[in-house]
Amino acid sequence: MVWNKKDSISQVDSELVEGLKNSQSNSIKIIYNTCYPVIKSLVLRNSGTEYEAKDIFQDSLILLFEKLQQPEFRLRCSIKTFIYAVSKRLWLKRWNEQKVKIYDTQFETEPQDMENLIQSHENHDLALSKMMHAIGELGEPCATILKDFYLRDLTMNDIAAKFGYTNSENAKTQKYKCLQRLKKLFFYGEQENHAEL
Amino acid sequence: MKMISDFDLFDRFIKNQLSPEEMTGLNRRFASDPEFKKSFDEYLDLIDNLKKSDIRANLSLQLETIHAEMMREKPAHKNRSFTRALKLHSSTMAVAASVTIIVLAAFILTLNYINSLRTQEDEFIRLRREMAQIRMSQREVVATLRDSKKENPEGSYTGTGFLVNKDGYVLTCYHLVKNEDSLFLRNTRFGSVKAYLIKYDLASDLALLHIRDSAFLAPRQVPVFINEIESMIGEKVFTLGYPKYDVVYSEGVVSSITGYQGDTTSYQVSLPLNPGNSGGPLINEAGYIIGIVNGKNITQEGSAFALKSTYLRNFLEEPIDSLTRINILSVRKPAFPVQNRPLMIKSLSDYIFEVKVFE
Repeated sequence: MVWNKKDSISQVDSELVEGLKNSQSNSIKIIYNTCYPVIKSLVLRNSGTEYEAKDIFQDSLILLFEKLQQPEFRLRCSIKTFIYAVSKRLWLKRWNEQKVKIYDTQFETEPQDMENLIQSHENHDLALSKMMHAIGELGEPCATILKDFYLRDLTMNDIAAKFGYTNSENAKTQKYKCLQRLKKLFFYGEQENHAEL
Repeated sequence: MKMISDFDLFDRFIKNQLSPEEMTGLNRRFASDPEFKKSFDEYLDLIDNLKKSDIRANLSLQLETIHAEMMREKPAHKNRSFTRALKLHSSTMAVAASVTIIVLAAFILTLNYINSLRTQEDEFIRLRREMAQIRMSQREVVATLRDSKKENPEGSYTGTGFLVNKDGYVLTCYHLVKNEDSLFLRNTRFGSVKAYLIKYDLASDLALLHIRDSAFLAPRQVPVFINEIESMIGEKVFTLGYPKYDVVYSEGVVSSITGYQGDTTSYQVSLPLNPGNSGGPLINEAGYIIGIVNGKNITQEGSAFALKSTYLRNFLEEPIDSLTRINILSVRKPAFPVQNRPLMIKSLSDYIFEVKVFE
């Protein structure tokens, strides 16, 4: 795996972008192994720890992945440059309160309009973490029932059989109740008591 | 139930199962009933986020696996280049090594001589709680109980141990259990349960216990993550242990990345510890376990020692026998609120036991 010195989208890179977009594990692995060391050294140089580096890097990679899912998004630089720019932004944000200048030797100019990009991602991020939290609060069997129906496209009959409901109507009622609860948790953030671990 | 039939309609809409007539009916209702339209939009938003969050959770897991793999591969890679270098320079290295050995031997002999001249000042003590001593002093205080011949239910020694996974494996210090005859573990969540010594490592002072007790209800999940990375000086840490009947919390910082007399496998931590704290997990602010408490220096105030988590992982990753391996949890973030310390301690103390040793 060779990275082009020139900051343009090379042949290899566009293949990797395509791979990441379709979440192929091979491409993700290559991107991870080549980009992580750079971010690690960025974070460590700026008084971060190794797991902060890991956090920042994984958040950046997830951001790129989710951006790629949007049809209007175009990657106009190499993956490495993009992830570096995002990580730098995210790291800067953590330090923003302290007004620390980030010590950075590479990539003086930002490849794309990062300001807007990260801003727009933030709302999306908030919604997703709210949803993840809501699913956690929802508990079982609700979470699995909803996932089975909406993500894995099982029919109501399959679900009734899997969870031992007498017929698909009962399962449907249960699914409806689950969806209502999820809706409440997601939109109104209704707090239940602290979940058992 | 009108709402159910509405949702049924929505479900069939996103699964493309509506007939053209139903589609036009739906569009007409959107135009006439804004409440209905709002409910539909919320529904779409909800399902969209549900899907995306699932994709993100999967990706997160994938990244975590890659990271763990990468961490595991690194040392192996170093080894390979090391053997290559060894082959290339074997003769030079042999000469260098023999010179080193001679110099070192001379040095050690001198050092031994100097050391024998002065008395050993600092002393390392193991933090197991000796019940006999405590009993004795208690007897002096509570004279009326002196005649009681009841057998001591507390065991000969007590210490601390923590659950590493949901299969009931508990990690503790070997010095605590080395003369064990029988072992009991106790905490508020699981009560008192019987455990057995499965394996130990003398060099790292680690012992693995397994709970085998019908009273033990295995938890669904144990949110214990043993850190793969070494901690740095100044990292805030805390430990939970049983220097007395109830669990005790103490807080401090990593003060050196070497332990007693420069031992590189341990951290020095400035943390108030007492006999009974041995075997307790050392936890950082993010909720990761970074070590296991095993002793302190009695001549220096606030210098306790803890074996580094990387050695814990190595010990746990070694299979018990050809069939049994221990699953160590690898999660991105510990499954408890790290911002809220009391809540975090409450969650964690469920998985930390008092180890009672009968000799």
